[in-house]
Amino acid sequence: MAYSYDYLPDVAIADAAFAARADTLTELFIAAALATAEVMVDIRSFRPIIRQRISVQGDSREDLLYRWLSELLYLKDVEYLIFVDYDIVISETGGKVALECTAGGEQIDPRRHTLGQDVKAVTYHLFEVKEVEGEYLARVVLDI
Amino acid sequence: MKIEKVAHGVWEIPPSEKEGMRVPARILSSESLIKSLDQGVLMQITNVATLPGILGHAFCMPDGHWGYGFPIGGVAAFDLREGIISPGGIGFDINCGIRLLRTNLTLEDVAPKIKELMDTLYKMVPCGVGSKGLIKLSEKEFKNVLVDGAQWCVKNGYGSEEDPGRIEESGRIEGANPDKVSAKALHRGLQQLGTLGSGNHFLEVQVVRPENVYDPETARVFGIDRPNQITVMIHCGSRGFGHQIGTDYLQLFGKAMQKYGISTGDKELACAPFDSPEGQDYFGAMKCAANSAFANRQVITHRTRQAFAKVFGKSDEELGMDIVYDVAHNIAKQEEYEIDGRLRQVLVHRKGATRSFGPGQKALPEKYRSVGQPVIVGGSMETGSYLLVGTDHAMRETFGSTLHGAGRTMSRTKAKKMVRGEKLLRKMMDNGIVVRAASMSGLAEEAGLAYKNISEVVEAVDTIGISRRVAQMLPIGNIKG
Repeated sequence: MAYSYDYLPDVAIADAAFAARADTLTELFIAAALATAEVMVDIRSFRPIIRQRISVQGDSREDLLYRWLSELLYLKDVEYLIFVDYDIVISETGGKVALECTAGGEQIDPRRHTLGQDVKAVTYHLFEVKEVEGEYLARVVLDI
Repeated sequence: MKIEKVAHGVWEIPPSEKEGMRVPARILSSESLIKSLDQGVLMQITNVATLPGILGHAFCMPDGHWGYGFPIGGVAAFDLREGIISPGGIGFDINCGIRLLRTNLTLEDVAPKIKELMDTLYKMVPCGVGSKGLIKLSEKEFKNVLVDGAQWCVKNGYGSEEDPGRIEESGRIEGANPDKVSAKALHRGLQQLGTLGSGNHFLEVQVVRPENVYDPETARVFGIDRPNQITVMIHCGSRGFGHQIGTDYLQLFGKAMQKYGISTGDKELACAPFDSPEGQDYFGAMKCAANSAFANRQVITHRTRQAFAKVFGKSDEELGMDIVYDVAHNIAKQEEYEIDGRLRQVLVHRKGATRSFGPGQKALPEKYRSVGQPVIVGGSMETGSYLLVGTDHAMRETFGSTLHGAGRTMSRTKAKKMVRGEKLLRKMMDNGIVVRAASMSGLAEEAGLAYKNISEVVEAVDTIGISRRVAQMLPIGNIKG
């Protein structure tokens, strides 16, 4: 059980690109969520005080990751929430992929939290989710 | 990729260089800037040249750099019947743009109070991740903002009667259709009116030194009329509302492309025929986002005037805080150009590019019609910005378009590794620029070294002739989200 992510210094220079890898698909989605959150805030200063259920569906794993990250950006703007703890279940049936998550986080408070850059959107530029020899990989470019 | 110089400041990539290119791609640049052009731009501008219905050339401006879909600095015009509309040719931040305000104040008036002024502005204009807007609106009222843009603001007390006349499209693009906007987009937008955002967005207090006025006559027409005059620049867009519209339609257009048998090779260039229900729906929604961005800059203008009035103890009328102009630099617009000897309506996409209408254009405010459109170019926070004027040459050569900024040369990730925000803040302070920032890492990402030399980029467009230098504005105070 392991995951990691790295920011890519030479891709889409005005934006923020990252590559995530994980042992499982679920962990890949956690890694991508954390990589996105870390662009916006110092995630070490956030605690899982508020718990919220999040559900997203997609036509493929790629589609699901796009919608998952977009949903997190939506919640950031509408409820000011940044999540740092994710309990995720992904199910794949009949060409559809669904994610159910209980996420823990808190509302952004500039007095207590260290802020980074706001993420506007998830782009499709070089967007990729793949499984290579039992390892799950994703590449994402976020619009800043 | 074969790239050859075809005219002074113009390099061309012929259609033979990539399968599916319908027109040549043109990079506008200078001898030194072209050498540092990143490969992502070449890949992306040639992708644009493959899109159905593209006319003339796919252009990249001298500040161009690697983006997503279109390069930043990309301009392309499409036939209304055969052509497409693409969210990737506009950007998620629809009508991201710049507004310039003039004042009657000079450096001598402002310098002693600059810290107090920046503190007041920082308190009054929300910025940064998760900032809350200044106006609470019902969904119904927000829809009125989407239709009436900056004009809604003026009707509701956020600005003067004269303001809309000094904004591109009078701050209200006709034909906005809130019915084509998702509930999610509305929710994201409801609480963000009057927020600056983050990234490269800023509110800057600037000085125009006499030696930096290159065309005093045009400058005077634009209201730049005294030595060491103070100006204010506001750079921001449509916030989460526009970002959600981009996200929604990008997903929808992926499916529309299958329906209409279009393939682009880059998912971020997803598009739909302009003359299709999907294309028209997006155009109607995009106009809502464009109007919300005009409204956003209008509300921020209102707060800026209040901040100045508070610090200097004079009304904003006494302070002469008029809008010079407000330009969109992420947008698609229906405009008319002479192509092959006849006037044609086309859909011009500008992504990180500014309209640059020359003299005589009916779309310009009457007071600017004799000289041309003010073109406002935002530079990095360390090096300053420019006020230019649109030209006839741009109307003939680049679908009335020019650059929008300095253009990045270094990624955010790299800049953050090279620069520490706190150190940069002190350095800028030593150089006479008072900075207030919501994010120190965000500040580091915007360091001057991450950008091209703005004077060189502006010189390139001036030499090519797609806009002319009028004045340079130097920062003395900057607010960063």
